Amino acid sequence: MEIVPIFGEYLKAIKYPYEEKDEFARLFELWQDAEYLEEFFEFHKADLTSGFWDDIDVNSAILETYDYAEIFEQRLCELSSQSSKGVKSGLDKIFKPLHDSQTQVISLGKSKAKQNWLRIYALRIESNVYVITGGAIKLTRTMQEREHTNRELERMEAVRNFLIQHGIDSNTIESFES
Amino acid sequence: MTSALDKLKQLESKETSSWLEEATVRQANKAWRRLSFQIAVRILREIRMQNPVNGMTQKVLAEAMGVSPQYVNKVVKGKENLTLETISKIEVILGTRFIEIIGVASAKVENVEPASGESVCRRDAQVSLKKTIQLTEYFEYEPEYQPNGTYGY
Repeated sequence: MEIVPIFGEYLKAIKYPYEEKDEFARLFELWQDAEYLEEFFEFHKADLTSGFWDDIDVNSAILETYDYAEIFEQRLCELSSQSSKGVKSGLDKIFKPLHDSQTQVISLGKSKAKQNWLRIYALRIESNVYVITGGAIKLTRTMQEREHTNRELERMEAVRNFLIQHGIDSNTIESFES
Repeated sequence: MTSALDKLKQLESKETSSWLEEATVRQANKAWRRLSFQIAVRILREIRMQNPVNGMTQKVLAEAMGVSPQYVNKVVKGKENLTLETISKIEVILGTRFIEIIGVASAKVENVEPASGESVCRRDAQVSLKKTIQLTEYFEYEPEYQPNGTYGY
């Protein structure tokens, strides 16, 4: 695997050997790809009415995902043009510790106007330095409940091991999500 | 002592992510890309719905349009700046409408005096001209979907 700079000094992404693009570029392309989203939500449509999110049909889920990805991308584009200091504080507003925000999603999920189920997963190497390991459309309370989100946990672990092997102190690495 | 960031920089690839460049293009084209995406979703849902009935697939659609399956795949990803001709062609083949012109459809043409006995012929219906014609009569026409595998008018 490779580590690819995204913008500024503090945001990087993993490029897996079996993917054409790094994870950051791949995710934003995927989340604005109608064919991918239609197949994804058709396959996971039972999760849309399971009660975790407000009941929503496949069509609306696809369109809301596109809207959210577009807004999220715009926010990141704006961040990319800021000074180094601005990028640092901006990233800390975007990413939250993985387990804390899982709890937060449970309490906030239903009150949100938009179905904010897009997740970007990252390892924080030190304050304000993030390495994106992947991302997912998370429709269940925990990541372990679905194969595609569980796979993201496995990938985070694989990247953590890769970084430790290359001399990064394991005590400084923490799991985060957007 | 080397910081974690310095160690990370040593591991970094020389190439930067393609994201920023791609995101800038997406943002610059967001108006038409949104429409293209919405049309793509409609096409995909229609194909999924029709498939058990008439075997509609992206490949069948491509053949009926006289284009390559790769082109149709680009269309259904929502990344193609579609022409009106292409949209109309897909509408006819799938027997449904994807776009409508807001305002025009509800506009009224007043005081149209038809020639004696004149009627407007359409392939599925004859609409007699009246003194007041609602244009919606024309714009609401949808090509009929034929479950036996034929499409269009």
